Amino acid sequence: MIGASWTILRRELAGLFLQPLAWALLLLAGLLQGLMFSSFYLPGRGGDVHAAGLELFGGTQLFWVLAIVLTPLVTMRMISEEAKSGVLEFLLTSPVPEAAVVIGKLGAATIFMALLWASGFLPLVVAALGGVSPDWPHLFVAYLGMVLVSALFCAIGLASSALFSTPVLAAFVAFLGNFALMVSGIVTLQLADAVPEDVVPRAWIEWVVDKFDVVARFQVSFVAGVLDSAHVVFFLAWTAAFAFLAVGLLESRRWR
Amino acid sequence: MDGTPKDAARGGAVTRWTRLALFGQVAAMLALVLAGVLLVVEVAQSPGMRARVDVTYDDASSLDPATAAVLEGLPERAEVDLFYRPAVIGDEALRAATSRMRALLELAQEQVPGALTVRFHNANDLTRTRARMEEIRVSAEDLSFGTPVGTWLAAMVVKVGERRTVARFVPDICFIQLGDPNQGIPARIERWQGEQALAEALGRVSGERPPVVAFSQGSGELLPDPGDQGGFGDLAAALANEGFDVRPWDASSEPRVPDEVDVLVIPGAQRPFLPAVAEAIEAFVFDGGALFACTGREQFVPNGGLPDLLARFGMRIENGVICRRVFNPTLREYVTGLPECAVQPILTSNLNRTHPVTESLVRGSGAVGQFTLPLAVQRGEVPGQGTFVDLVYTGDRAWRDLPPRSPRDTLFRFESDRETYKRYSLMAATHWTGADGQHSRVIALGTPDPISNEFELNRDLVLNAFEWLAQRDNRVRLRPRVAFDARIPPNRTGLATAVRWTGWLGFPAVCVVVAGLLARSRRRS
Repeated sequence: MIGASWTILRRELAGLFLQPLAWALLLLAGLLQGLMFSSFYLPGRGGDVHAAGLELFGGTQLFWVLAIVLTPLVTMRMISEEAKSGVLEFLLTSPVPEAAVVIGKLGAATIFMALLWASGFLPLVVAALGGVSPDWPHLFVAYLGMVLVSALFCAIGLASSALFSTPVLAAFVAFLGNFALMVSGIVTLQLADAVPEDVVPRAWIEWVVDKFDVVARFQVSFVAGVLDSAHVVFFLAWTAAFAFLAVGLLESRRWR
Repeated sequence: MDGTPKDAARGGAVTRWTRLALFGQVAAMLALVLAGVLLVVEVAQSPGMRARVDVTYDDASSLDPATAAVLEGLPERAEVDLFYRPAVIGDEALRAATSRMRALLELAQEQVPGALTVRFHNANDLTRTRARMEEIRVSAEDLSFGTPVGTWLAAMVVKVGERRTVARFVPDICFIQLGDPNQGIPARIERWQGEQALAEALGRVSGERPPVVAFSQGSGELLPDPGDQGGFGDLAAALANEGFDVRPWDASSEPRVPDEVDVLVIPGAQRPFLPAVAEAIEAFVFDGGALFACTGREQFVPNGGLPDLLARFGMRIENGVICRRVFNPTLREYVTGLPECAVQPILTSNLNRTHPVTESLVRGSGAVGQFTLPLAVQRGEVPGQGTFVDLVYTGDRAWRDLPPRSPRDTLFRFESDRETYKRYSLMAATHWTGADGQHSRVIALGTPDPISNEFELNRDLVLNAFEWLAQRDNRVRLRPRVAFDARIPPNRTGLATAVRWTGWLGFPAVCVVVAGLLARSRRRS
């Protein structure tokens, strides 16, 4: 299965980078990130390249906006478009397990996003070459967190793409899914404030929120420069769950 | 042909029931996956399974080991409520301080799971906030503090079981430099000690038992009943709020100070003590007890009164109000002989900079309050070669106003022939270690006025005094951190420009080049 996944990953990556859409996305996201870094983060932090870099690496809402918008655009065509064009039927009738298809596509989408996030290192490398180095381990951990969040959102996007035959609809539903996951923690805690303690104990609500709150986990761990196995497992487990869902939905296409 | 997906893929018939069964199977699988994820996440964050590595410079994202030890040693889960109300002036700094404290509490929850329950309250939302304030028995006054630009409400309430304590943002958590809005200088946090405040607050409320404070009665003392003597009633209420167990001690019915008492309060005694009572108090203090005593002009009872009692603990109280010169703007000179001369305004320059009772107030940088008609608390012979510390003192141009020579003499007038200018102590502390290793602590106040009339102004000073007397100051010494600084030096404008432009156009340029190369190679092939 690993060989099949690898083959599909390479094929997807090649496909992605041959699409004008992918380059347009990279260019626009890169411009937006560059604008924010050069015009706001760096001057706002008094020329501190580490603090400004950290804002680029998940320290502000920009990351979440880009992540919830871009990942559905990257994944929307991966299954639904192939189903339309008949490539998927060919793929599913070949001796390739559905899981390998999903893993390969998920890996390709995640690598694409990782490349986009890595663009933030460029000005920091220039600063380091000029003798002003940021706290690299801290930034690498934040970057790892961004990649893990992107993997989770890509898995949601793939599941959505497997569910719907129209790429735009798949992207929209994936965007909603990402957004819901992003705000679920904040909204639930706000609601919890309104619910009396004797109706639903706050500890229960906090337990539930703790199992879904991607933002809080990302902020308290990766952005803070802390590599915590619990948070790494959290993101991997949810990514695996949505990938599993995508596999199930892909399988269901055989008998839909 | 049994209707399985493989059959379907091979073109076999799939009935409605088969589809239903398959959907049921998928649904069951999904439920199992969800349960599996929750289980995995829960197991992964259980203490034994968790590995946490802070890769930041100087462990910037970890609690100090001392704070972590306090959190790990809590007898039960602590509840922390953070209250904040936006301020009209200086809110940018107050908001930043609140965010920083919030981040610290989140870090504490993260690093020591299960130790804290944290709630954040915007005090503008009064309905919700009030309910919680009533639940944890705090008032808006408990959470507020005066600043030169008005009263701010921002505080952290730490509660363990039934005991709770309040740490106000200024001066307990931080010190805010107000800046100057007229000149466009924003307010900023000048000094931050949130972690220390959290650790100390937790230490205060998580001890084995609450410290017992007994108010003595029977020698003409001011009463601590609420509404009766005002300030002392407020003091008793504030102590109870801080987790002290407050009770009376009537020497006429109990000859000894009860063993469980940690701090004895003598709120001014207008009559001499009976010898047995004085002996009981002395025995209590020398056995390792703590004493807080207020004397004053009306409480100055020379024979067998409070001055004699305090002399046994190394404090000399002399009759005569401590006065100061007052500037007369009309005459453009300092004058004496006015009632204002007997009022000592207390600024941070009048406070001991290093003692735990006053150190936080010095950092707070505001006026502490004022002492009206104070007597001096001077250094005497401290038992056990102990230490005498001035806590609150006058400036150098103060004098002890001796009783007038004739009824026609003006009060509070400086008489150079028999009075001299010098610095006087208005509040002092002594402490010593007895032969059996008991630590005794005494604080004396030269006037009851800071409590009886102006408790709210002097609240922090007085409560700090009780924390110190109960040996509950819980000073947590945290290792100072070195902040990571990667600022581009102002003289490296070339580097700053290169970084800015690379940030702006570096990645888009790479995209354009690579995409162009790919398009070219595709066209060729």
